[in-house]
Amino acid sequence: MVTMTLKMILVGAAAVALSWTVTASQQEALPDGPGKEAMERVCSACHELDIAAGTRHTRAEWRVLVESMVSRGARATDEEIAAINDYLGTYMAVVNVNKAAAPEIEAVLAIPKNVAEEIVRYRAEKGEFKDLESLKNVPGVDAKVLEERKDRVAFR
Amino acid sequence: MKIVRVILLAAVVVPGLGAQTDWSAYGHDPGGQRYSPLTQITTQNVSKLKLAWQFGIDPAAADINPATQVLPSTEAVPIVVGGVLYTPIAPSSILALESNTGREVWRHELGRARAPTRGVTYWAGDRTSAPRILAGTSDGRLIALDAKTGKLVPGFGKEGAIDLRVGVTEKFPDAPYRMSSPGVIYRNLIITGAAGKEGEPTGPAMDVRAWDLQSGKLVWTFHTIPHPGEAGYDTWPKDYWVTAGTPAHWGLATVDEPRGLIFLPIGQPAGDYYGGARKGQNLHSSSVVALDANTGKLRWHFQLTHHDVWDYDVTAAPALMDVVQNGKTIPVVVAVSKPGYMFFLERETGKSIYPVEERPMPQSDVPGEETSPTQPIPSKPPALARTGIKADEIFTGEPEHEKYCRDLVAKIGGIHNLGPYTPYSSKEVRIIFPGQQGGPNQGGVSIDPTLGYVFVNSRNLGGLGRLDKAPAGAQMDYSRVSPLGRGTLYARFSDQARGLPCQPTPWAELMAVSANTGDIVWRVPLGSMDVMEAKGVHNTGATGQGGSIVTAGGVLFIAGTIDKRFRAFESRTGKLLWETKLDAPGHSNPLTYMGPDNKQYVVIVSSGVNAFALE
Repeated sequence: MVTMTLKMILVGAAAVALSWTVTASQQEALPDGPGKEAMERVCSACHELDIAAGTRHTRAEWRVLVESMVSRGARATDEEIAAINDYLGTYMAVVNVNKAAAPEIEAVLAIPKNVAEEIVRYRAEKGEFKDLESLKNVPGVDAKVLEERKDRVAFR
Repeated sequence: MKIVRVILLAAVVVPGLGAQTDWSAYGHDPGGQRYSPLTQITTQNVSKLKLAWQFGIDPAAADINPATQVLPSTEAVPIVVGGVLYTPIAPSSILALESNTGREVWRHELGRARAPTRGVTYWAGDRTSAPRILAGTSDGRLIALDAKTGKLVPGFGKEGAIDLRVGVTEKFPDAPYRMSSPGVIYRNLIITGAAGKEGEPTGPAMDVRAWDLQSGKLVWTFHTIPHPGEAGYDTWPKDYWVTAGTPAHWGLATVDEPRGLIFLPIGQPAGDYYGGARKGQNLHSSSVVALDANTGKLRWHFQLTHHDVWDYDVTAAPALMDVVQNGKTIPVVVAVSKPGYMFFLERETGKSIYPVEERPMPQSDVPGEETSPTQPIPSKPPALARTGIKADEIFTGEPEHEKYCRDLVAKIGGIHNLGPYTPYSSKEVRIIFPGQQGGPNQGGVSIDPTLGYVFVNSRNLGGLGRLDKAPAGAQMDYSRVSPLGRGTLYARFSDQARGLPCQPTPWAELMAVSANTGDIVWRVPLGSMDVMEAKGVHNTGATGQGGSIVTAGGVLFIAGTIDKRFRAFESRTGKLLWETKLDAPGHSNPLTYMGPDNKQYVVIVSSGVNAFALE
């Protein structure tokens, strides 16, 4: 009876441990980049950085969110606000590949300019991308790179 | 002669009528009933409502995914007095508009400061002062504007502004500090709350203050964390108030003018999910308090959640009404908040008119945490939100979302929940109902005094997480983490990118509670998700923020859903009568008033102001 219970606990623990490794990003540091310092200083005055910075948004959404925080009392200069927008819009962004212009796709996915332009041209010709696989069909797109950065891609 | 008499009569009567047909305060009246006596729009004709005018709509708003709850900069409820509508417009303006056309009357620019989030306060003035608009700005000032011109009133504070940070934030110069909701008026006073950082315990004190409306001088202060010698001091560790910020009164207060009482909702203590460093009941966090409005002295308190470790702050305006039981009229204040329970409290004493049980609750397993042995549960009304979840309660009905949810449950090691007030655990991921969004929230209630009904909307959106030991140097020993990802959106039992909760529907409801019996008279799903409607799954309900208003025409108006809709319901039955699509969700409350053209207007703020009327 006791071993049975212990076994059940162990199995349960293993299942949980396994699931946690899937998202081990939890404790990873935020990526370095221009604006990171301003973001850390201004945002952490009110809340833990993980509250927002763990979630990816489009550039437009980050702009709204940052403005909303300023309206809620975040203390920053105009330069700091711009730097924070740039940082979040580059390193914590998701891009809608069915709507965004080439420069945004290029910046968020960190891919060559001509490939980003090809994505825009391809969708204009063949219609919206349904999923990652359909995006991989675009000439010049590196499937491996795309797979690595798939959490930065949105389709709607 | 007869004509002259008629004109004179009209001149005498109109101001009174005007007050009746305006919307002169956030909650319509000082008691916050949000009930308008207007009857032009009825259950019969409401379906013919059309957009009359708009102002300040942000073209960028339509591209925002409302499911990710990117907070809007405005949740304003405009004020309408004498044909003029006063409202903040993001980012940095306060405007007066003609209430029937939306045409600009005046505009006050705030410079670098941002406009108030939830609106402004109208003061009718007195023998020596003309009417004023009072507004709390993002940089922590309270400004007074001449309601006619929009110019700062020089005699108020320093050249028309009080710096609310003075005497409060000196030890925390980088900390945010501002009024998050409009102040309320009691005689010659405006009473203000504050908001700042919530997650960590240290910060500027979030005390409630009353200011002289003429001069801007401080009249009284109420400590949300009691100081030595004040009631409730012993519910915190010794000297806790010295460095602690929250709890804050950041929601809307109400006033009982004849009794000289003000009722305040008070928010949660910090940190939101771990209270090991603040052992005790933690008065006056997550409470409704009644103060003597003249002195700020505590009359009574009613704590809705003891030692809150769920982020169950009380934010909704405590609304005033009369309950009739056994032929006796009892003046009450209605308190409702995120845990999902509604309390009818006698206005003079804070005693519940329905018995309240201090019910034993599951206890925390987190080292250092001491959750309250009990929590208050009323015998009536029943819970207005889902308060738990069983191991097999996963959404079914649409294969793609069902699969998402089953995968999510597998990732977190199954559904673990112990019913109402389940504490987060350090040993397993738990799902908590209601989650940190509620339940009911700051949208609060509206009241039809003729029906004796209290209307409340409530969402069912579970919180999700585990309390892990925080890294060295953190203010809190434990912090909530989610295996689904970092960030608050992942701490929800839902597909956060699409805004679809993972338990069975309804995901949000609108309800009417009979105050006289404590029963739920009707309940309907509030909202529908387009992505589900397209797949034949109807009326799921949609999460969101904001509340309702109700009219003598028998119509209840509400937005408050991420489906971007604005709706009208029959207040007696809950029947949906009309809906229209907005550019962005209306995370605020509507208002209604009679325009100078004798048309009844209904207004909801989305990214800007939308006014509707019959053609």
